[in-house]
Amino acid sequence: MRKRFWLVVLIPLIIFVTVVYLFINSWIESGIEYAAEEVVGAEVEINNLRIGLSPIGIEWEKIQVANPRNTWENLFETGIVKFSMDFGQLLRGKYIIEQIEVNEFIIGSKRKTDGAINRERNKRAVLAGNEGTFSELADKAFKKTIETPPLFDLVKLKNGFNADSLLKALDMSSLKNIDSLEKDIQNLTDDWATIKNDFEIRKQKVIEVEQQISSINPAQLKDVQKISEAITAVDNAQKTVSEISTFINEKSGTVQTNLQNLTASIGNIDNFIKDDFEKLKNMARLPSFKAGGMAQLLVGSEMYKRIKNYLYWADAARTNIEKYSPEPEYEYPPRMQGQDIEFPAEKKLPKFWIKNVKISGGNIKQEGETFIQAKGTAGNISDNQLLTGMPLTFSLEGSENERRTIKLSGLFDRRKNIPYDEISANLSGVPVGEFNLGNSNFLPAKITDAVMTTGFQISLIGNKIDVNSDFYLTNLNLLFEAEPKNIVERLVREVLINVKDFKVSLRLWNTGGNLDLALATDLDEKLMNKISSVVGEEINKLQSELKRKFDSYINAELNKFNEMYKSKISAIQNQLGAYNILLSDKINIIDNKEEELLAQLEKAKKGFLEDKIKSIFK
Amino acid sequence: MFWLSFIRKFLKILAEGQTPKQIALGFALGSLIGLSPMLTLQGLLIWIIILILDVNISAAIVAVTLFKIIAFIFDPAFHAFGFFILTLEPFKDFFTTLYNVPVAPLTRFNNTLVMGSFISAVILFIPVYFSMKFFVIKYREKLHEKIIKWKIYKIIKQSSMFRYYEKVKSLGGLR
Repeated sequence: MRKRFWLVVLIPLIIFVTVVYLFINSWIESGIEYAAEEVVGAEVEINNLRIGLSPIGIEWEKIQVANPRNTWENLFETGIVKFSMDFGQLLRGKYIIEQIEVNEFIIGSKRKTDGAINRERNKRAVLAGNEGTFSELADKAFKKTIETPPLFDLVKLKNGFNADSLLKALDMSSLKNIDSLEKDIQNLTDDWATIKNDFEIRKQKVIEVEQQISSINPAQLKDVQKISEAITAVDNAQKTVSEISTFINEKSGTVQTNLQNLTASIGNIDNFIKDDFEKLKNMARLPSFKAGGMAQLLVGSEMYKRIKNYLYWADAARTNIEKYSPEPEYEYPPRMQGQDIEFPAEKKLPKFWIKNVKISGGNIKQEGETFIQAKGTAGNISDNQLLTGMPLTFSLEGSENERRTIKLSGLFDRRKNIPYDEISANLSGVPVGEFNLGNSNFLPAKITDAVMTTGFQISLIGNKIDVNSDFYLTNLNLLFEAEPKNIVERLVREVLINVKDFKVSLRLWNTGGNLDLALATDLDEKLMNKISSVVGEEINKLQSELKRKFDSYINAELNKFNEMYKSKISAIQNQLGAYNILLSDKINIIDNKEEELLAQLEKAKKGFLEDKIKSIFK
Repeated sequence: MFWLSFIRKFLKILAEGQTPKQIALGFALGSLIGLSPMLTLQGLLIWIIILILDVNISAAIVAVTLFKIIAFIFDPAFHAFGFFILTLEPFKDFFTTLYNVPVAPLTRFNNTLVMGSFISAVILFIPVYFSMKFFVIKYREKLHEKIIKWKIYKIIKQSSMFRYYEKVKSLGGLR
């Protein structure tokens, strides 16, 4: 034992314990603030954090989390928050929290100070990183439809219209598809040539065998031994022809499969052609007299802005809610980190699990402040849903002075191989300060005053997304920012000027790759009928001309392709049929010969037996 | 400057002060901590043992520094060794029980690097202790006389930082 133990160990220990006791609250407070800021990408402030020892838990008076996308506003703020941790599990290195009580939960309150943190930290924050996959796909889908709006100015449209030059500039995916199909046909033809050569070699053998078998005349064979030798020869011939037949069947099976695939791909050419024509129409900026076209023009830009807000959170959830992955084999971790080996546990718990968060809204009233007080629950926030057996869920309901209401709910399931997320939001009574209509090229206008009700559902299954949204605007006032530039703008203006409310529906979905977008308003039909009666005939003429030129160009290419297809593929199919007939003929000949020989053998055996019996009784 | 004072400190420990046993034990205990890659419960316990037992703390610090470097170099080997031990079939039941009892997970025994380096450190503990003891005795008998004659040693010893260290040492009773 150290002689001056008290001096070396006890005094430093007492000092250490005292310092820890005095400062631990503020250390943990700053630690949580820093860690939360690293996640959110904006300032997080906690007031008066206290640690309790029995039971072990934490309590604070207030937390404010700034919105990383608008740092003068809070994402949310709360009153008293308290929770206790499972001490037994803490000793096992796990953070299990039975319930967190969150009081006075407020969404979107204004901040007195800017909640921005330094750029470097914001950039590396979990929620403020790059846009996720779904946002990028939505970007593409919206840009495709709203960046080059259809042109309604007939004079401009006619002046800039040249079907030939548009066709030249069109990057035709149907032609690329035809090219690739031609290559496939060529490859198939080459493969067939090799198989054909192989078969021609074997065909000689089949003919030789057939000649050999045909030369056997069973009637001339009287001796049992000679007949048996002939049967053996026929058996060998049968074996040889069967082997060749199996070889040909295998090879022709591959050719048949390739032929079927090719036929299926050829069936898709029409879809490519349709897409190409739509692309061409967009290039010509010809307006489409479909209901959705008008909605894209009227509210496309505004919906793009609003939808991106929601997709941002959907992306963040998809990226950051951890998926359980089974224990890997031997890994190569970074130096000084090692690999954790998991062992079976009687009641296996994740490292981090908040079982229940109870959020109460409170009843705060502040003059001149606009914010939503919300109440609700969140459950099963954990780092491993396979161990908790439950998905992360949340449900929030709130209102602002009984005027604006919000309902939010969601489910994030990471228990299976394919992640599944569902987010639903309903807002009502939202005052709209500014809602843009049209765009800089067509009827620039804005709704300056309205009340909006929104319903929003996002469903994400693996890489598939389905977004459904309704926006219902009432009591609206419209402000047109410029005089109508053409007849269509004038007609639309005439319709809109008397409108006091309207509804926008949006669906954004995919079945794998790019997103499809469908936008509609309840004014579409009214607007399109009015426009098409005035300018529809002229636009239809231009469209017909474009279609005629496109068809003649693509049909020429299709005819060339069809000729090639017919000549090459028919040749393969005919030859394949001829080979099969030839083989089955030869097999029949051999089989018949064998039957004749077997009959002759029976006859010879019978004669031999009769001779023997006769000789006994002589 | 850090390396200079590090060498000075180490040479000073070897030459005088506590017994070779105390220095060697401090050094061997320090090697246990040094080889461990992260903060673990057993690491904390070893620090407490160092503070309680009358062993040389400076030697322990020297050993921690030295063996941290060794641990970094041999990281892949310790990882492989730990993986081998943790996946041994006969020990599976034992590790499973340990995994389920309180406190044990705080040792992070199920981490390949912690397990590999700790077992290696325990195996090396006795050789390190005796080698260090032998080295200190031989150093004091033969090497020290030679080293103090080296010019470089004189320069190090006369440096202002070293004199400052000596002064503080005499004031605080550090060894």
